[in-house]
Amino acid sequence: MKDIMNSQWLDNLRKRIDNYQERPPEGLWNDIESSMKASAKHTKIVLWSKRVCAAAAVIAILLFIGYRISDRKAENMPLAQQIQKQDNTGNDRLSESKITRDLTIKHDNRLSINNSLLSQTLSLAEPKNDTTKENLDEHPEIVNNLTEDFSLESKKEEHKEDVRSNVSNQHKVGPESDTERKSKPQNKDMFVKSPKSKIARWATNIYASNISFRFDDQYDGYGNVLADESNEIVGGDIENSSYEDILLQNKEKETYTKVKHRQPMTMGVTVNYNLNRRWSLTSGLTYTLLRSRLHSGSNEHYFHKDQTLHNIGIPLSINYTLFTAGKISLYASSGGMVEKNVYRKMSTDYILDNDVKSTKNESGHLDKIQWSVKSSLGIIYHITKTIGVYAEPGIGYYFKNGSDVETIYKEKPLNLSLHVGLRLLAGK
Amino acid sequence: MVIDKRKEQIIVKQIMSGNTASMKEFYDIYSGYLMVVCARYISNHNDLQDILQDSFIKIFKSISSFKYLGEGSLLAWSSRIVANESLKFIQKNEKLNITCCPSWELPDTAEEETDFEDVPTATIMEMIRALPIGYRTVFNLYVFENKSHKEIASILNISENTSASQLHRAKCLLVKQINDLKIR
Repeated sequence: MKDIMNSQWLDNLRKRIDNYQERPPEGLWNDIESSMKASAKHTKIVLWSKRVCAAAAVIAILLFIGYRISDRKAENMPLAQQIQKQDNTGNDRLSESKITRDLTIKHDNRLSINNSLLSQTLSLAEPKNDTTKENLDEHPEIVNNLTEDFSLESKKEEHKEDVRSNVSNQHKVGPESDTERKSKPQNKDMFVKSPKSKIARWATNIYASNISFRFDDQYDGYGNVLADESNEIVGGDIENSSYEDILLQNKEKETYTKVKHRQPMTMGVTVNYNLNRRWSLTSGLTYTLLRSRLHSGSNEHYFHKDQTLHNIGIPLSINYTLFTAGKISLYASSGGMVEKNVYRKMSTDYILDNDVKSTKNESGHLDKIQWSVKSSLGIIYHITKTIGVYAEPGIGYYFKNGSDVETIYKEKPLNLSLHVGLRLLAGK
Repeated sequence: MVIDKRKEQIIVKQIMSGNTASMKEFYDIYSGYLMVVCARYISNHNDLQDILQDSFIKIFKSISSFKYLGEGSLLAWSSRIVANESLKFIQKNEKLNITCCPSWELPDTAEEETDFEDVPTATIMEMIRALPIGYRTVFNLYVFENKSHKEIASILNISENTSASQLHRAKCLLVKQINDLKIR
């Protein structure tokens, strides 16, 4: 009995205290506010330094790939390399100057595109001609062979790469080529590799995507969706009073919230790197425009929020060529993308009795990063050897990023897209 | 005290997105209650202010982990954070004092429990705050946090017996003070 009394007494005490309020210390809120702002700044700094690091990493990877490619370009010009090697040894300076001259004289216009790199590199060495002229007569057979080959091959536009291998082969006939092959064994590999470089290593894509169907979403009650993620203080007096007026007026009315998302519009410039005949990697930079409109409230008293998001993204995908028939090839592609909002604009109209009572404009940017994965099937038609048009329908999935901001990605994470673009092939 | 469910969810969402105006709103609604939670544990005014400040910051920063479980759940969740922060402070700064005996004589025998209907809550609060730190902590954990003596023993690193006797003495002290007040 005592125990029951006991707990009852304590229980009453607890209830009394639980419903009791005391005035918090003066200035407490100011302290809280200032330290919340300070920590928000700190988080921002941390967040940005992370982003900068990520961007630096991406750039480093791209640079690395680029560096490897430029290496490969050099590999594709064994002649020039070899010549330079010879030059370094000071053993035989004739070939350099002579070949350069022959190339300049003999190759016809049809070859100029393909050999431009070759002649460029070679012409770099040209100023040395004067010093090497005296060696010209020592190995006339090289000069002759080269000249012959070039004049022959220049007629066959389709087998441009053979020029190089032939040139190299002929070059090896020369007396110094044996020692060279021994001292530089990797050069042999380069010659073997040369035919493979038939496929273009690099391609640039410019594309756009915008399927203009809308996605509507409606639910009962008010939407505070399209909520503010910006760190700015929201809630000026006008907004609050207008918002409260709407709530007040709609007290007895049926309210609903309707969100209309427009299909994202994307533009991008990407670069393809062919790993081999079938596999290639794509990366680059994309810009996406997202637009949404929210209607919240009843039919008479409501607010409209128009949201525009500008996102910048970095995609990375791997592609596999399924088949090629003439000028058309079909490929499958799969990859991911990281997107960051760079600018966000939102205008809110507060409408009472179908009359705009106040309007509020906000801008800023969202901090959360949006990740997505995508698979697509593409078809490309090669108009010329260097230009192709392509269409790439795909399906993407956008991961939740913990943001309150309503976007089509959040409403409909599974998104269809159609990229249409131009592909420029370069870098044989 | 209990605010509309929808409004509560709006506030939570806005705080999550870093909206300072909503934090202020939350503060205006709940700070009075949370002040009492903290004051039950902490008697020193400066400490109280520091702990409350830390607690609010913690609430705002970790509000994404709050799950709506019905009316009053936001206050209950926030109160738990304040209580934990207070307890952490006590464990850190007053560890030695928890088991120390108060300097004045304590009644050994329980006095008759009297109702405290007429006693203002502010006075009762003052009495609780005036309890020796060890008594006060055990009393808070047992009465307001619904902890068993076993749990209290492990939280404060004392024996279950100590916990039980401290609660008993705390209660006796309160009853005595209330009785004294009535006699006067």
